[in-house]
Amino acid sequence: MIKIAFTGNPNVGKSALINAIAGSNLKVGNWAGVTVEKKEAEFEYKGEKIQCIDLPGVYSLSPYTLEETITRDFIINEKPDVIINIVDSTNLERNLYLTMLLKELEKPMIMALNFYDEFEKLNYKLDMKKFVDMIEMDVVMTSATKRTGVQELLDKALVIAKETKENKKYTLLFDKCLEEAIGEVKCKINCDEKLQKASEKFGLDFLAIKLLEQDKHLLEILKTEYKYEEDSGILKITKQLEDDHDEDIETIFAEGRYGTVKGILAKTFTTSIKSRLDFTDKVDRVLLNKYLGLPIFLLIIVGLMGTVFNGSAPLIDWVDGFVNDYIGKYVSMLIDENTPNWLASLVMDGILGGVGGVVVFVPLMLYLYFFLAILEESGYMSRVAFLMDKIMTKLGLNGKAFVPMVLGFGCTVPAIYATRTLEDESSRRLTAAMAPFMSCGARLPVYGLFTAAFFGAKAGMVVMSLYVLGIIVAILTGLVLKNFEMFKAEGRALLIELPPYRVPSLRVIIKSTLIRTGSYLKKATTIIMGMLMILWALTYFPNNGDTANSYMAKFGKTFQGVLKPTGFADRWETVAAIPPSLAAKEIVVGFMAQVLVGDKEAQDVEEEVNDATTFIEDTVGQLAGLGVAIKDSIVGVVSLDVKGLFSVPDEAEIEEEGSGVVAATKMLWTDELAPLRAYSFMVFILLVVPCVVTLGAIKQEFGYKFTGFIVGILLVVPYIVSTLVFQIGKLFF
Amino acid sequence: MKTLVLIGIVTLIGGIALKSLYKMLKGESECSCSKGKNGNCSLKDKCKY
Repeated sequence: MIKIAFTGNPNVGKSALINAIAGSNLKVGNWAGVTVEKKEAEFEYKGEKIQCIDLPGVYSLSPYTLEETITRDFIINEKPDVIINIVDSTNLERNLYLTMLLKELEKPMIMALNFYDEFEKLNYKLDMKKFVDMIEMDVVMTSATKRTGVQELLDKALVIAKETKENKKYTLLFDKCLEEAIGEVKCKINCDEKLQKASEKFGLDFLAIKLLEQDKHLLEILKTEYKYEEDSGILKITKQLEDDHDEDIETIFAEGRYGTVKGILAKTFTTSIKSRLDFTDKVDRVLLNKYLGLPIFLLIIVGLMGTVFNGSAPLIDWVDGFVNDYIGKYVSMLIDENTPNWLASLVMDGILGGVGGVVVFVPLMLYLYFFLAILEESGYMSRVAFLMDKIMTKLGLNGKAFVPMVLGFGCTVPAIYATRTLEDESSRRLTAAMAPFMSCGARLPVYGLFTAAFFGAKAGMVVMSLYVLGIIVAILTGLVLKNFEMFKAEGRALLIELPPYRVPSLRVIIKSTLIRTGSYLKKATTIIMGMLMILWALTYFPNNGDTANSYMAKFGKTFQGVLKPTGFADRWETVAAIPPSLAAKEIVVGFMAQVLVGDKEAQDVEEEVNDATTFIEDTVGQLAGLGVAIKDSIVGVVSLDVKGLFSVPDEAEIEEEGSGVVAATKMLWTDELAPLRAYSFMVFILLVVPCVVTLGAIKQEFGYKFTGFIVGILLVVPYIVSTLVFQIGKLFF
Repeated sequence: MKTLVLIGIVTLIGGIALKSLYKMLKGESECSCSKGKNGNCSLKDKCKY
């Protein structure tokens, strides 16, 4: 097996390049920090088994953040056969700094100059022969999105991997003063048995430089694993260098490396006046404007939600009809007078009704993931972190902490792992405590159902308010928690790369959308179906279909009193839906479909069975309906009525909306406070403990005790906020 | 006969669904980290979405 490690700065297209090479589906995005842990892809090429390891994007190899530690430790400990250093060819100076650091590790390397298509567009010129000579490794021009140079890169990497079995020596090209200091330390290493042994693992150059830099992480390893005692001689050399340069030792080495990079580029690289950054700068002047930045962000979310809801509505109606009228009709043909009642109920209400209720929202998820992918790919998402920096500073954090929170809009699990990009443990804890309040994709079907039932055409506006409320509650929680010792973050200044704006690649967007939506569909037909079957049993028994006296009803009724101030607990169904939503939030929708649609659905299906249409006629009818739904969906996206999102819905409008599960949910509350009760319930679902997988991620990253603490917060906060929403809201009704 | 077919289908899909649920509750889902901290975590690709 040949092990290839891919490393480079954040957002240089590492994951995209691996996907192009290995045909895998690693997540890509035009923002830094998409990969926070190493990921792997395996495939066969020319008879060789190849393992590609996607390391997190890093700017340096200092052990200050987890991703830097992961990358450095992997290269040192796992000894990849070859490293592919991916470099953004349109930003050579910054990217080559990491190359200089990697050379210090003395591993076989090859460089991929990525975004070559953009490099050419910008009319940049690179004297390749001279560049290769000076950088001392093979260089291949690549474009991961256009898939050019990919095969050449892989072929060359394989040759290097097979040929180079030993450490490879590079010329580091520091100034004379630093070279002498490194030479002196190397002498000391060679004279010390323990250090000599360590140099076999770390490489002589790397060990010498890190000893001079007083790298704490490495010194700790040397002390524990090699019983090394700090050498006052080396400390003296470090001190001397600092005095001579009037800088700290890390800055001295950093300047040395940048000096080498500048020297190489001065001799090989010519730039044109035209710059890609001109366009980005112009756009950023508006999008990151001190006063306009945040309002524009809110407008983008309003537009996004409006488009998602308007566009998906006709398709949701079609899927609803497809599941209930088409699939329901043919499934019900398997049921006759000999079928036991419990089995008929399990099939029609438990499985078809419940899972159907969740599947109905596939178009909603499809649209959400499509537009989120556009935002991610364009480079706008990392700007959100910058916009939030001022607010986050008040919590002792910086805008970088908002990156995991933005990830939380998709799924809270990667958001928790993404806290690894933060520098200190307190910042990580505080961000992990705030991230679950961001509204993840799994909650959207719940909003979809309740807004369609109670808010009609204004659904997009209501959902946007929930997203914003999640951000506000996260910040307020952070403000409270930062007063506790374990959450006192160090408040470092924001240092984040803002990638240039790029026209999103349609292929990447479609792939990302299909994988995410496919994942939702798979979840609906596995985990959610399993849970809904259990819930069906608990609502069917012990009184054979008498839902109101079932185990679930008894459970719901037991806790109704406690949750009464929230306004939604006057119905046991909403109370009983909360605990199972711990498995997956979408279960709320399936459960509502089971307990509310129930008999009505069965009757409808029975009527349909009497329908004399043939299978072919039904199929043609469904396909024709799909065509109309797609046309209406496109019209819904194009003619987005943003103004309409802000107006108050009238009753007639609400009455028109929905069928199946939506119509049944509408019957939950019929009093004048119905929309307020529904909103309070959605707020509770927004803020309550996320799924068990998220809790597993928190436990793994921070331990049981911290997870218990977070669960406590995620039970108390939704209770308080839902109660406030309902009680204050009542004053205006 | 129809009932037997129905029971067979329900058992099959129910079995698969309940097994997925059990695996998730046991912490073996796609989005769980299988090893430990410091880079050993191997999340499956789909989890990242």
